[in-house]
Amino acid sequence: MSNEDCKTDPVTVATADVPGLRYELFLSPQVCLLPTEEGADISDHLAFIRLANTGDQPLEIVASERGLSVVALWDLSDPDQVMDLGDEPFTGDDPLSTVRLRPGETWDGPREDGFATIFIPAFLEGKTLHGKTLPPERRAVRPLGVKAVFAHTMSHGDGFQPFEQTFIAETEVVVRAR
Amino acid sequence: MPKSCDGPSDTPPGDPPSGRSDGTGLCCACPFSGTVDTNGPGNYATTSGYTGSSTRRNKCTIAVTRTNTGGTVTVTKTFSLTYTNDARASSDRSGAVSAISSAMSAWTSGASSYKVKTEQPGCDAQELRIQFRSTIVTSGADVAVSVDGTNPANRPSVVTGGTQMRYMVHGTSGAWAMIHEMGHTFGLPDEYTQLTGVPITPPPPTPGAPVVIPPSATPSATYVAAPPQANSTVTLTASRPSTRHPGKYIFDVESVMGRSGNTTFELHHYFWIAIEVKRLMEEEGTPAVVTII
Repeated sequence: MSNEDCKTDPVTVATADVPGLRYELFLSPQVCLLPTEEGADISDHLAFIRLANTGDQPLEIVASERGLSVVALWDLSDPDQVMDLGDEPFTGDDPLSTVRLRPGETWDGPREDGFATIFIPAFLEGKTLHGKTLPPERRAVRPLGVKAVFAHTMSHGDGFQPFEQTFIAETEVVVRAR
Repeated sequence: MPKSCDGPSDTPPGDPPSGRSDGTGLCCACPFSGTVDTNGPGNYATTSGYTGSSTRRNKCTIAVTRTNTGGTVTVTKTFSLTYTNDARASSDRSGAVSAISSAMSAWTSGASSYKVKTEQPGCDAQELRIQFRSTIVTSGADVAVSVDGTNPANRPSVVTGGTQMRYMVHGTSGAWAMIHEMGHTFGLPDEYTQLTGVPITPPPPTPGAPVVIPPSATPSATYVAAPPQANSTVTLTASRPSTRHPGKYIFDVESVMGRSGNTTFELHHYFWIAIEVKRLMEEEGTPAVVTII
């Protein structure tokens, strides 16, 4: 669908810091659906990670292209019903990216897009992710909770060590009238 | 005692006998059927040492036809197809239907080594073959499928919650992924996981080199059988470091619910059918021992 009427450009929704490194999670503020005869057009939506070297030494980072995972979604109106997206089957080694960051430099790292597509039928039917029917007034605009995990290794010149960062954020599903 | 009735022969000339007798339970060769809506975690399987998904609803219908010693258990799931990201019914329906049908056929083939054994008081034991069927419907489906035309596919086909599927028209993960994911629509767990590894010291200097070794752990999945059949526990073993989560180590099993590409269908993958057949027979007033052999 056209993204013009939808807030698709990712914005910073969460940050985290470890010594020498800042993580920023970017997320599309909205996921918009326009019902069609056979289903729905869904707006581009994605999450990605921006890394910034906040230390005074260069560092080296290695991350899988799939290193960022949206691992759970939930209706904010139904926060106890988290839909665990789980691990997809490991079909082989994922391609890796290696980046060197000097102090002050940033890198836009792994991204995950289309994470809400699987729920299109539930959105169209006015149901929660767990299949509970929503009242009509809560179907058109649906705030969603998002849990994302980013994993990577990092070296300050003294060998690579693993890191994993979890983020909790929000986005909004907008179901347009046809 | 079961109601006396003449069961059909192996090639019955007419309609099978009706399903329910007058309060005395099913006759030995009476067919029966019913719906299933069961959350797999906790009811079909539990995991230890790793966290599986908390929700995998198995929605389907089960129809059982019987002779005095044999018969068939048919598991049917309904699927609805919703198209997005340039997927169209005109060009992509047949591929999606074929992928679903093929995955169900694989589960039927996998079941060819096994039977559902029913031991109903007053009747000979029956050994029923297992088959899986899929039907496409427009509403009220057991599994709602998003047919995603993103090209190139940015992710594999997958099932969430047991009842929601994303089918990637241009996916490259192949038939195995659909077979595996279909297992989740039956409420079955993953037989793989990633556990936090033990960091290698000193840390390796080479980018992309493994940074952990396997932890000392024995994650397992226990499949629940219909009593008196014993439950079956599968222990996952350390396989390789994860590239996606480099601090973790992958544990898995050589099975269709475990390692990618493996199509080993184990006896316990069908335990849930015995649980549901037993329940349906009880609902018909016919307690029975039901096992998978």
